[in-house]
Amino acid sequence: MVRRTQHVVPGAVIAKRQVMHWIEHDYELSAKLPEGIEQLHTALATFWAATHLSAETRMRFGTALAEVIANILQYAVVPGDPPIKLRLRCTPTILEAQIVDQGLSWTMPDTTIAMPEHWEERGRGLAIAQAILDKLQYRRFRNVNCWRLVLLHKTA
Amino acid sequence: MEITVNPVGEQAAVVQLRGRLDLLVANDVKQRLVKAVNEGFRLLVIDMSEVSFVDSSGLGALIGGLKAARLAGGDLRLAQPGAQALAMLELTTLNRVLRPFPNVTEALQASL
Repeated sequence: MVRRTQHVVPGAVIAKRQVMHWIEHDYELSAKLPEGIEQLHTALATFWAATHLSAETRMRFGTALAEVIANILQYAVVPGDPPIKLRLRCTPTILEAQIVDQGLSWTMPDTTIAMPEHWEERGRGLAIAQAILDKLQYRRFRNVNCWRLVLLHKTA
Repeated sequence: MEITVNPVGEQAAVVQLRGRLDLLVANDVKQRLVKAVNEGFRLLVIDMSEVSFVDSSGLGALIGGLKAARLAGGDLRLAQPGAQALAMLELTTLNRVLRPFPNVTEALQASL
């Protein structure tokens, strides 16, 4: 069974697709603070309402995703850039986020991102995301940044 | 986020935070914590019971407050952090320096 609805509202769900045990939502997040962060939390609340995941899984994935989006909003895009596209997908085994933005390119280290020393006040975001997730990928295609976050899970 | 500083005696204060402690408020929170230390409150207990979410910037603000408190010969302690905040502290190993306590009373009573 496939149900699909589509409507475009900035900052809201722009597409939903549902196959048996397979849920996918597309969102657009403003490239501006604080709107982008507020819209992310709204998007997550909407997505969690459509899934049946444990509180711990939701917490871990939400924490990792918020760190990546915060990095994009602070360092890659500037207000006035096109919205950040976010696709959230939940299958029986994985939770996945695909993020596309048109901001500055990144240099991601090939190895594990080191957690800063205790007294550092900055620089933990991507290290936290990487530590939580089973996969954190970044690729630059032409003029867009593509992130993929994957967390393995068991549906509660 | 709401930030309320409640003095407890002359050298301690309970800082009540409500809402998300994230990049949108981290700078304000750090400034309030440093200001409280500069006003003489060298022991700051952060009441985390109504903080729904903490991100890395929020942790950075707490570290900023902790550094100010330690420089003044005091400490910054977290009271009743929620599951997400505790997970962040453990993941970053910041629980070694930002000590979590089950409640405000115990955080205030522990020795410096």
